[in-house]
Amino acid sequence: MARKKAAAKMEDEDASSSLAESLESSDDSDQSHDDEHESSSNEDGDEEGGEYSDGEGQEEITNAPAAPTNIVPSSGATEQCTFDLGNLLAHNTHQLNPAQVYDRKSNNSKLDKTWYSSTTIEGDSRQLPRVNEDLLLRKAAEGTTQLLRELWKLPIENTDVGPMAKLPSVETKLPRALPPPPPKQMTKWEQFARERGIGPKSKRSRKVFDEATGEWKYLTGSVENKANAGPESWPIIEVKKNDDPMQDPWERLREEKKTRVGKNTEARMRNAERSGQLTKGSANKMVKNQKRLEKQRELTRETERKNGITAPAGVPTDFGTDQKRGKNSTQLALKATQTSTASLGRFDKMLEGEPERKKQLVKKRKVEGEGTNSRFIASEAEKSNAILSRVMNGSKEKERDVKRGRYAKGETAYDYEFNDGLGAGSFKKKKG
Amino acid sequence: MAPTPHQAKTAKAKLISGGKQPKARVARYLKTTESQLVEGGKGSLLLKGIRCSESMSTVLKDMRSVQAPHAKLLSKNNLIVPFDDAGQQSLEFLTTKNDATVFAMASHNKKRPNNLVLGRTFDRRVLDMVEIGILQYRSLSDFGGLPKKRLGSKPLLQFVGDLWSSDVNLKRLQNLMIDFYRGDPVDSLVLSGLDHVIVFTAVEASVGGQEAFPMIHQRTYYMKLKRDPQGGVAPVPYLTPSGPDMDFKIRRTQFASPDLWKLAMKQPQGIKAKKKKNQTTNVFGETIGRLHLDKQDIDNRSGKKSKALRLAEKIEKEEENAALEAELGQEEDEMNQEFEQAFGHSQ
Repeated sequence: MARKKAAAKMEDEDASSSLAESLESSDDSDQSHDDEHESSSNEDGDEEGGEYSDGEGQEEITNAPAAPTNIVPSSGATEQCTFDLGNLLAHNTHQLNPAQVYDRKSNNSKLDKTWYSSTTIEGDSRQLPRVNEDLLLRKAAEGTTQLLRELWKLPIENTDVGPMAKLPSVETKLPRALPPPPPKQMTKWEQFARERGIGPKSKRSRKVFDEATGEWKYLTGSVENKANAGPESWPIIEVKKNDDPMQDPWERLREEKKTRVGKNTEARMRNAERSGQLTKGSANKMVKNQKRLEKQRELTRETERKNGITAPAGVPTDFGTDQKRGKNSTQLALKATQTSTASLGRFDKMLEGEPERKKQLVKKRKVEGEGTNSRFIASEAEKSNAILSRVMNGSKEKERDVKRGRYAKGETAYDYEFNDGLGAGSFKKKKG
Repeated sequence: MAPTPHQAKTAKAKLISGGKQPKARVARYLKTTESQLVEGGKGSLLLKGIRCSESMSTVLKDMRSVQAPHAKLLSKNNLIVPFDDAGQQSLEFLTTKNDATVFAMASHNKKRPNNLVLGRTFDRRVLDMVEIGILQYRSLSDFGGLPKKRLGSKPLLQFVGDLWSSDVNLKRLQNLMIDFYRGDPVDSLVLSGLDHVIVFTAVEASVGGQEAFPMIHQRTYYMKLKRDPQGGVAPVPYLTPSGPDMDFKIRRTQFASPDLWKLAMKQPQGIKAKKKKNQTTNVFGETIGRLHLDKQDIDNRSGKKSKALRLAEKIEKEEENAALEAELGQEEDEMNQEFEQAFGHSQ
């Protein structure tokens, strides 16, 4: 409210013509200002975060019959400023007389106090002489008038936002925040293309029509989402002339893709090394690492082949009608059943055609401390509790496996509540 | 939350060596933190030092209001001694993480009351620092009900006094002040939206017979544009004090070495408008250009086969196939004949 009043007061001042009602002299204006400030200083002042009263928000050029005193006529003895219009900057490089600025005798003791109601950090007269605010304002007005005159001389283009003045380039150079980006180095392919005059590929659309399903699918992606997915999605692949008929063609395709991806990554890394984005030698490191890992995997495969594949604890045996166990899983299941007796299959009769049983070693469980150690008992209790909570409340791993389809989907007694007529109510405890 | 240079490098390395791509929104943000050809407005970081008084907090709050939306104000006190290596490292880290280039640290103690350290960074290292002591300050709230500038509007700046060009320290300070207050660098501007002026007046002040030192008076005025009563095109400004007003003197400075300064001022070559050397205009006003081609590497060139050659090859192939077929056919006939001869009937 007080702000609007203030703005309105400004307007009144402008509208009224006499000098008497301007800043410098009359008691009336001082009083009116004081009134404003008394009322407004009680309000919460402007807080950070921007509650700004804008007088009107936009330019309001009202016709002022006579100029208020803080505007200096252009023909007077004003100090000419130099400008940097790119920064909206004006330099008044004329000598400034300290005596003028710190004029103790200036008659504006009231002027200072009319604009502000308090001072956050009070100036100590021992350190700061009293400043002639009126002079500062006048100088500011002079400079601003000249600056605006220069700005209005600039070429104006009419845009949809309004008339915009085109600012010239900045004169006062300012330092950058970051060094300019280094020039991009060409990759090996780009160099080659430049030499041979091979132009860039034409733009491809993101979705392509897939003949097989009659839908618009993506150009790249998973086999389901990809348009015109290649042989990896076909149920039948013909054996061509030079192919080994015994090799799994899908496996071959997967291996080819793996090598392609590896090659691409390596090439990308080498290009990055050349341009300095990657430290030299990281591509070689990666290649070596991959080779080592591959060797390790081969080794484990060998040992598994030699020692036989060890069966995991619970081999799934209940499958739906549409899912088959598969050769591997059957072998594992057989292995599991072979050793699922109390004697771990050592003294059981061998059936006809049964493959040899590998002796299953008993794993001796290490017991921490002695059986009666309180810490051991506590840890055992913890372990049991954890297992219980996993069973009762479900665990992340179980949910994940259910989602992946590793759990039985067939109906078991636990899938739904079966009422067999033997409820708690019908149970009678027999006496005696 | 811009990454530090080390973080950025490791992230990029991971990405190149086959890592998962970040989300598109994150990737767009990271791009803005990298070095760009043409830079936008500088972000500023406002923080408190070891001990800060309420008035100094007000100073920072007002600065944030004036510089919004580029300014970020941190609320906690920081154990940073700015003119110390460790302190500068902390400042560098904080400015990097908050996407700021320019910073102001306020503190208050008995030795340096109402202290404000203004500084800026280049390439995530401190470039300049100026420590100023505020002798008098009037905040936005002191100018209670008066109209003030709109959020985010660009100021008109003015430097009054010859000291700005004669004193070495003040020259650099002027540069720093422009960086602080000018806002977004723009090519074109709607002039009717200008609504405030910030004036820096530098005077030689000598208090109580002491040595004269340069005192700087910073005043902010709300500006209303009014039609020129003398009938000029440009409007005439009507200024009213709006705060924040600050009277200060320089305490300590740490300006960049000339080498670092030169590096910081280096502009990329892409920005300068190049003259087109291969274009000329002839007598008739037509623009004529000259193409300068590189030397053609004739030996290693690969070309496209002509249509006729391709057609010829095709025909040859077809003929071959036909000949083969014919031969096979002949062989089959011969074999059938033999069979008939041997067994008396066809297969």
